[in-house]
Amino acid sequence: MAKLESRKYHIYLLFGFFFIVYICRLFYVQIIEKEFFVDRAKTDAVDKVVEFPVRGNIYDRNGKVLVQNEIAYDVMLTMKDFKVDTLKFCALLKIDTSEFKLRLKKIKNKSINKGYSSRIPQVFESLMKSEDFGGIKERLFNYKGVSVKKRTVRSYPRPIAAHVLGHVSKVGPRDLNRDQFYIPQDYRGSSGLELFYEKELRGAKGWHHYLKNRHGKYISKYLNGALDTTPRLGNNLKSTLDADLQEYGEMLMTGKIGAIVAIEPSTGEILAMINAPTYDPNLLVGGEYGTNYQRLAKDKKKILFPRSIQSRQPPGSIVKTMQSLISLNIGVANEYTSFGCNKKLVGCHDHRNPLTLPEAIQHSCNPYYYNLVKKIFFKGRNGNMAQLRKGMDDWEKYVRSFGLGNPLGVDLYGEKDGNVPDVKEYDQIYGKNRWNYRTIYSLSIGQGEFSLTPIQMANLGVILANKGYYYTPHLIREIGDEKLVFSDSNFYHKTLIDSSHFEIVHNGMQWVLERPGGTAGRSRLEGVTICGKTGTSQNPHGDDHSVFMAFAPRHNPKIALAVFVENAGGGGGTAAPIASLMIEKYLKRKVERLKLEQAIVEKVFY
Amino acid sequence: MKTRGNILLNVDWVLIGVYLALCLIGVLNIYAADFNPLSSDFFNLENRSGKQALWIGASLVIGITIMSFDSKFFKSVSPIIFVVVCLSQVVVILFAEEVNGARAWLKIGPFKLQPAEFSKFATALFLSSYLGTFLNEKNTDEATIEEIGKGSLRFMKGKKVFSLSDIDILKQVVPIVIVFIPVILIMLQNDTGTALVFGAFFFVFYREGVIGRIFIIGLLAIVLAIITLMFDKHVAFTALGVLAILVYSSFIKSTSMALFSIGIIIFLLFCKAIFGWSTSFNTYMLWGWISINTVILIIVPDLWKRIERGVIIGGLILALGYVGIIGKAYGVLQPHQKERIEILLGKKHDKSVSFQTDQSLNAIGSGGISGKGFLQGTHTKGKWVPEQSTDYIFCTVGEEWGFIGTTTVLILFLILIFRLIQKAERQRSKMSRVYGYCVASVLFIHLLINIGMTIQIMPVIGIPLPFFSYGGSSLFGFTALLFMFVKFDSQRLDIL
Repeated sequence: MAKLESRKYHIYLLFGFFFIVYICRLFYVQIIEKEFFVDRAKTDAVDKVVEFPVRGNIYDRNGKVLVQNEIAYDVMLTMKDFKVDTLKFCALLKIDTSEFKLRLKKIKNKSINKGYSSRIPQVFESLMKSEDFGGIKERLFNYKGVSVKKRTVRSYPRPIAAHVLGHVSKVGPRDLNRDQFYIPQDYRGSSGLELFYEKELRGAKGWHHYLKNRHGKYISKYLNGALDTTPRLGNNLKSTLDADLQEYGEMLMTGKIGAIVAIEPSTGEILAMINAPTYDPNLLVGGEYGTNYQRLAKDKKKILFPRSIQSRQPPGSIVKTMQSLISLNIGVANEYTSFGCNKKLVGCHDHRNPLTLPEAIQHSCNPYYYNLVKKIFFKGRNGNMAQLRKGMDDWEKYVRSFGLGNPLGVDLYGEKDGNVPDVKEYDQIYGKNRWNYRTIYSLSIGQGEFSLTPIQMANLGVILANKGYYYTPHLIREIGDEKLVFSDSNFYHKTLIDSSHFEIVHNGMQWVLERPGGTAGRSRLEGVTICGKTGTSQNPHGDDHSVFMAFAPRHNPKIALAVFVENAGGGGGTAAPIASLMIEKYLKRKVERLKLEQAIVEKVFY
Repeated sequence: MKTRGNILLNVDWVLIGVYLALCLIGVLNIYAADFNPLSSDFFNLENRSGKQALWIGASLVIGITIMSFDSKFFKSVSPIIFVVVCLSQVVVILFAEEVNGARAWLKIGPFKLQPAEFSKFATALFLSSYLGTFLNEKNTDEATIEEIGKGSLRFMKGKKVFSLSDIDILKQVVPIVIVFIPVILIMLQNDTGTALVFGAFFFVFYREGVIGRIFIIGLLAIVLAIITLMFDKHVAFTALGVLAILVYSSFIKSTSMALFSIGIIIFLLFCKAIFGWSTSFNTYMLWGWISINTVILIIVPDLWKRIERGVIIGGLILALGYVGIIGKAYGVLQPHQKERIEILLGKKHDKSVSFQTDQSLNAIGSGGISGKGFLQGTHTKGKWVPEQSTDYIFCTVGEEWGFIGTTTVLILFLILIFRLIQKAERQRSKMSRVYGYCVASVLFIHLLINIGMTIQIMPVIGIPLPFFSYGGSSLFGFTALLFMFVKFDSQRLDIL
């Protein structure tokens, strides 16, 4: 009897065993592996929906808008529901059927479009301008599976400063890998200030979490919106640019290739940065970005090339100001030092002879500087190679203290360094010690291997205006509400020249415009003392480039600038009047020399 | 002898209390699973919660009705109930419309009934009344037990299955026939899941005297079927050969040895179940088990000597045959059933087919210790798990009430089932005892398959969770099943 009744224990045991197994399984699933399932449940049931932030605006120094935002529309297709008459749909969006098919192929190709799902809306036409969208809105919404997402695009009320402001473009795979911030629908600054200040401008995305049912429909906010964030607007930037001056400079540069950079000497703030030829920044916005970019990039005039910070050119005679300062500072010359104008040494034009130092600046006498720089190098021990090498090393230190040979550190990417020739470089070109002053004298007048970028030329003007120091030139003065400080030691640079030597050079520079025989005599401005220096940058491939570097007024200078016009010949002819007009525009706010202005605008050098 | 006293005093309130608790927790979870924010009224009859509440009310009426009759009445009408339920299923098979591939629903006015849900009750009642009658004919327990003992010995020679040795062959077959009639009828309704539940009666037969070794062999057959499906044929063949030798040897002397060996493999299988079938140490596990068995064969004194060569050859032949049969049987299965099994055993990954079970596990797993809170389950709200208010109701518990909720429900069921066995053992009448075991076993099998399915231990077999799942038929069926025992139990002092 006992045997059979004991079978109840077998049954208790068996049932109990299964209960324990099940509770262990639940323990494993719900407690040990909880995180795994929480994640999986979230990926299935919770959708993160992005709300894009509005990018910060950029203003000029007077609060005028340079870049703002405009609403644009992404036309999205949900492939699962999308069924239309292809022809009509194409006609509505003004595309042809082959383009239509190509786009659908791209959307459905998972290797290109990684997050593709037939239930999730996919971008078909991106960033339609509101004026285009308004007309087709009604008809578009009649189609099933078509939806629209509001985006913002950049817009430029005045089509100026395209290179400086830069443009935004869609993020690529590299951006996505490098910065977790981006998602595939993002746009990012890809050149100019848009790129340099990307982190400031972009703001932060807002995220909405929705609870999704099995069929992909949103049923409610996830956790009542506890995880949701609102987008944070990008910071507005206040630029140092003067929009009016910038616009005026761009107008003067019509028909020319070159650059103008104008800087406020007392702060290093860049007042204008003109790259010519330029383009309307509104071209690189929205749906037409691709085609327009291709067109601009292919243009033979290299329209997209930001010459003001990347074009390395021989500075020509504008470096004579610097050579004078160096000679004064190391004591190999004084105000009255004079050399005969020996055209056998180096070409020159006719002028009074001999000249004192300021007069040499006024007339831009080449043989004078041949001799002066020779003196700087040899310090009286002419022909001594060791002395030449040592003298050049000294000279190089001075030159580099002018911020030459390295990028100045402007707040744009891609600024070039320029070149200061040195002993090493000549050894490389000619072989060690197999060169002499006769080989390299061209650097004395700013030719040959010597090269500067236009912004370095303008900065030379700043140093002259400040009598020996400069602040790193920059384009942005305020981010959001925060004023940027540029006066600390990182931004303050002092040259090796004692400030007492500058008056002599200033005299010469003033005479360039004001004394008979000055190389820029026609560019005098009534009521303002301009100090300037012309330059002719020799061009082995064609006509010489016209250079002018200046600051004004002579006392308490407000603006320093450099004008570089390619293939325009001597500095006095084109660059100097442009600089003079710029100064007039900036200091007087109104240009009265309309004839000069018109003559300049009409000049075409390409 | 004490006569029938106040019926309320003799009622087992533990059973009724647990029953009510399960029904209430069930309807709350149905409310959550079917939650519609636009019409969130609990008792709204448009909602499943409202309807289920109505069914619970009706169930209580059924319960009270059962309680108010005399047990003897049920004993006498049990064949009639059985026949009526069987006939209604015939009607269903012949005339009902097909819903989801099954002809199982009988339309009566606005209501739809599923007769199969009542056949568990009818079969249990009729089977216990039949066995009760027969065993009572022998008058004393002792005599019966002895007979059973003899029967066991005879079976060893391949003769008899039941301990009902003095009765003629026909009567021995009757209990099996009683179980198989509804099974066949339900299979004809294309409702394999419900038919499987009738396997529960095997526990009853075991308790009432089916030879233990049959039970072991049955268990072995299931385990070996899993192994055969899980592994290559040659691996399974080796395993089966070793096992067959062990089982044969155990029949000669050592039953506990066989149980030990089988115990290990069952334990290993369940470890796998706990950590997920698809984890991949299948082959290591099996070879580990084979080596343990080999060690047993070598170290147990004389075990090896006792095994004759014929036995070894016989074992290998048996193994070969079994592998072949399982292979053939598997080939007969329908593609979707094969797929379910293969997914469960981790042999195949198909997102579309495993979607349901994956979502079910996501819902339960993401509940964590204390759950996401009532009406806060993201998977439940999003209706990610199909059939969540019926077959997959346990997901709602898991997601919204967490481990605390799931174990509470399991423990309530454990209390219910153990209480039923405990009470069954105390019955004076054979009929009540058999019936008690029927109820406990049916509930257990439902629980095992339903919850096992939601946590990926069992294949997908669509049967409801007793008292929990939405649906009038199943609730009525289980209520009748349970309350009938409560009734028997309240009259246990009378001999039936």
